[in-house]
Amino acid sequence: MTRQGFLEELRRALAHLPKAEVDEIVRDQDEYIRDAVQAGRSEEDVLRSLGSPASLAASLLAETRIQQAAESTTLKEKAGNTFGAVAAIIALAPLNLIFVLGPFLGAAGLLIGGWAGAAGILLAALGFLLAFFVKLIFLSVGFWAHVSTFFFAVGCVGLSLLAFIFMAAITKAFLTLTLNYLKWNLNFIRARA
Amino acid sequence: MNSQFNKGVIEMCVMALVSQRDFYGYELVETISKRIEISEGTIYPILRRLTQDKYFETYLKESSEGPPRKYYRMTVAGLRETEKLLKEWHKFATDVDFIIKQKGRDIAAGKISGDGQ
Repeated sequence: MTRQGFLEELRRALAHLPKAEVDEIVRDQDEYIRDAVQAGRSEEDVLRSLGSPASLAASLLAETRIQQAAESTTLKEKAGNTFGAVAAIIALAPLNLIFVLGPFLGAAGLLIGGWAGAAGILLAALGFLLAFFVKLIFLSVGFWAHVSTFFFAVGCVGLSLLAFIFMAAITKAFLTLTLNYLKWNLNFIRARA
Repeated sequence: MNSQFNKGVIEMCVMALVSQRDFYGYELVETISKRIEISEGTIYPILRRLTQDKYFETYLKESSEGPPRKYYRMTVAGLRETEKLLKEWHKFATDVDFIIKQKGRDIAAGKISGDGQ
């Protein structure tokens, strides 16, 4: 492989990244190879020691995804980017699928269940509120029966809000934990390579 | 050398070097390679991450031999982080060294046998 071939392949492998970033990485690698050749090494020797463009691209992609996830502020964005980071790590080292994907999907499933539960409570609360108004208009069950239905419904709304806040906190903690694990994992992959 | 250990240490070497003066990519790899065996692809992702973490800044400088080179310069935050890391490292290295030497003395004194029993 020649320098030009290496850089072209690297550019193709990085196609998912913004163009400015790809240009920068390709420029940096070009500089590196030129410097090494200037220092008296053969181009083949440098390229061999750099490893394949694909593996360099994979490790850069994984770094970028983790970075994006760590920097994203909204929970939704963070969740999306964390999924991206997990995917990138798996692309980098398929063997890590066992270590990353299993626990990750299991915990993600639990979290989705939790969110569904919170949504369920909210729906039920809205149902109770609706029932309250229907009763208020159509049934004469007495003042105290109305009051108790009303407070029950409001209580359910409160409970669902608490559930949502709780889920948001847990989800955030889970994403942070996942990211820290991925960072550790990435070091491990890089060290072995 | 234990390679899992290696990687964090390489990162620390990169930070320690750049805290002394500005470096360009090949120069860093060359300097570290003189003493520690590293694969050449390892340094660049580290440099990118340290730059993204705002520990490094980069600038391009014309070189006499060809296209401009990208130099890495340490920021104040990077300097603080380097100091912290090096402090931790020195304490760790001193402690490990102490334990190794202590054990050597104990073996010599016949307190424990050479196979560690």
